[in-house]
Amino acid sequence: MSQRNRNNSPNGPDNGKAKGTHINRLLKQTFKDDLPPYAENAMKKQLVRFRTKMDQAETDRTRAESKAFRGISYLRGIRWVHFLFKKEVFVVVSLLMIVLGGFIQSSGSSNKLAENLSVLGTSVVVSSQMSRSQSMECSIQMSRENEKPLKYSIQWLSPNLSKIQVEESDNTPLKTIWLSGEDMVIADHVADTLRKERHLAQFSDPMLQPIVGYLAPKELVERMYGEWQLIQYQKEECGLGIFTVALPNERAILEVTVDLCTYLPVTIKKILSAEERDEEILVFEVRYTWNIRLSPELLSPQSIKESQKA
Amino acid sequence: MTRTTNSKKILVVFARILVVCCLVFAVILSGKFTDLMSGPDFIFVLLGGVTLTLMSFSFKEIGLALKHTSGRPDSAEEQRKSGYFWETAVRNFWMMGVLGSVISFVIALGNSEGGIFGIATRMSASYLSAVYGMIFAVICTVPASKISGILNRQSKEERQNVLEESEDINIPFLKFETVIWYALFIFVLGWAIFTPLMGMAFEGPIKPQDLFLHWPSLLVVLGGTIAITFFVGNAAAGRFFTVGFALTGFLATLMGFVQAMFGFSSRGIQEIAAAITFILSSCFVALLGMMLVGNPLEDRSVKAGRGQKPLTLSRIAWFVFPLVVLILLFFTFILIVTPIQKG
Repeated sequence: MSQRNRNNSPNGPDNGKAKGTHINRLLKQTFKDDLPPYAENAMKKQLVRFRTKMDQAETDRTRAESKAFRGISYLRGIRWVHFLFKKEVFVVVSLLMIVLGGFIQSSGSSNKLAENLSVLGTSVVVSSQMSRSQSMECSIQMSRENEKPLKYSIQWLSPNLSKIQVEESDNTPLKTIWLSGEDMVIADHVADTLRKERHLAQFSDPMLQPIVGYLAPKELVERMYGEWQLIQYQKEECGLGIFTVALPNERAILEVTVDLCTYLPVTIKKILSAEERDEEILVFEVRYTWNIRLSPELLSPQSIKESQKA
Repeated sequence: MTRTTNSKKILVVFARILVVCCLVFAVILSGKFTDLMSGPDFIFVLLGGVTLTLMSFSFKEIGLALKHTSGRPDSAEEQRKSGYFWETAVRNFWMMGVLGSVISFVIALGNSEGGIFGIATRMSASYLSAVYGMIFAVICTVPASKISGILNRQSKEERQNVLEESEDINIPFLKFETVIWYALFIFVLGWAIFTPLMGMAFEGPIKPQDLFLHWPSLLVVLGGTIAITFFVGNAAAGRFFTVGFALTGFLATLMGFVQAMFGFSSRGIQEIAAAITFILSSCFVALLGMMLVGNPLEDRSVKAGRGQKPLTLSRIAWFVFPLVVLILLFFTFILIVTPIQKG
């Protein structure tokens, strides 16, 4: 039916043929084959190169395939080996790798570098918090070889006056050191006097020598910046974090427990590693109580009277 | 006559290099820039850059490039190859400098000797590698631009002939000398990573894999690169590996920064630390992938004549991605040394 329609169409098959010839003639007239010889040569060269390239690619592919399977000819019959080398498999595997990587990262994986960064970040925050005008009181327990442990309690009493009480573990008083005068304050509660802590290092009392670097915030900050070798940080569940630092010169480590609300140290334990005895010895433990600083005006007798009146 | 002129030109080039060397030695001896001197970093960048270049070019090609730099006339095709050699030298030194900075930065974080001050000082010093890389790159830019000037002066017709007559050269995938340069590069890399970590820490030597191998970033960068390369569909030529590594590296660092931001909002130091580790590790893997896989494949493709020029995207990746890494290192440094304010 369609054949008949086509033959009976107003144009007819002869007309169609004539139209085709006309179009061909028109195309030949429009796109004349009058390329300059150098261009024609270049085109021919390109064509030959293209054909050679295609042939070469095909040969390479076959050769590569045969090479890959020459040594493991017994695998030829196995379907899944061919399947493994499919492009789609590679794409799926790569996408799985991305998803797996993202999953491991978001699930909180950690390595040595991340641990070091945590210790560093925590110590930077702790040192910053300590140097931000904080004052403290502390008590220290220090062990001695073949003797009873010593207890130190450092109390702030008033501006320019601090008291260090040294006693044995059974509360037998041994010595009381009064630190008075502007240059002798350890850590007071009044703003602008903290700078005098630097004089702490001048104490020559042998009883104070082992702990002298742990009594004032500024001393702690300076040691943290210049001497302490940061090793590890561990977050505890009860709002505390413990970071361990090494004192390479003394073959000892410090365990600094930090309150994670204030990022101020709560305790510092100095532990000596006795390699020959394969045990750890607690040298001392310092407990800190950090205070809110008061302005000097609040401590003048006049302001105390005014507050009593109020 | 031509030979005499060439010899004279080579002598002039050597005399210039000698003058520059004298100036550099004078500066070193003056001792005024001791903070900017680091022998191991200098050696790492120099050796690494040279080895990377030798991975892609033979001694013959290098010799020819040096001759072209001294003004020896040659065909446009040869000049183009020499220009490409100098371009790769610029790229290699620049990337090597940035890789050196990343390595030094990670090692600075791994070694806590000297407390916070010690770490911060070493982190700052890690930028020296990038400075050296940049200096070498600038030196190599001079001959590159000289050859490019010569090519620009050549007539259009000559350049057209080069395009028409250039034919594909069959370059074997792995030659013996290439394997040697790969081995040497890995040795230089190992030396830069292992030596500073050997027996310096109080708690014993740190294993390099503990610092440099972070599985999530390795998976993301490698997976992303393979996916991009296969999606583009030019995997056989391997030309898209460079762009793939750079893009996925960049993407991974952005992911890391998002995680760091979340860490800031929740004030979780450990989360921020994990994010920074991810960023550093991703940068390291991406740079290494570009240098070991992407760039040699790209160079091979260009030399084989499959494309007359490297991809524009590759060129952007060569120079922009290391710059981005350097900027990220700076931000990471700021993130680390800036305390998160509490209370």
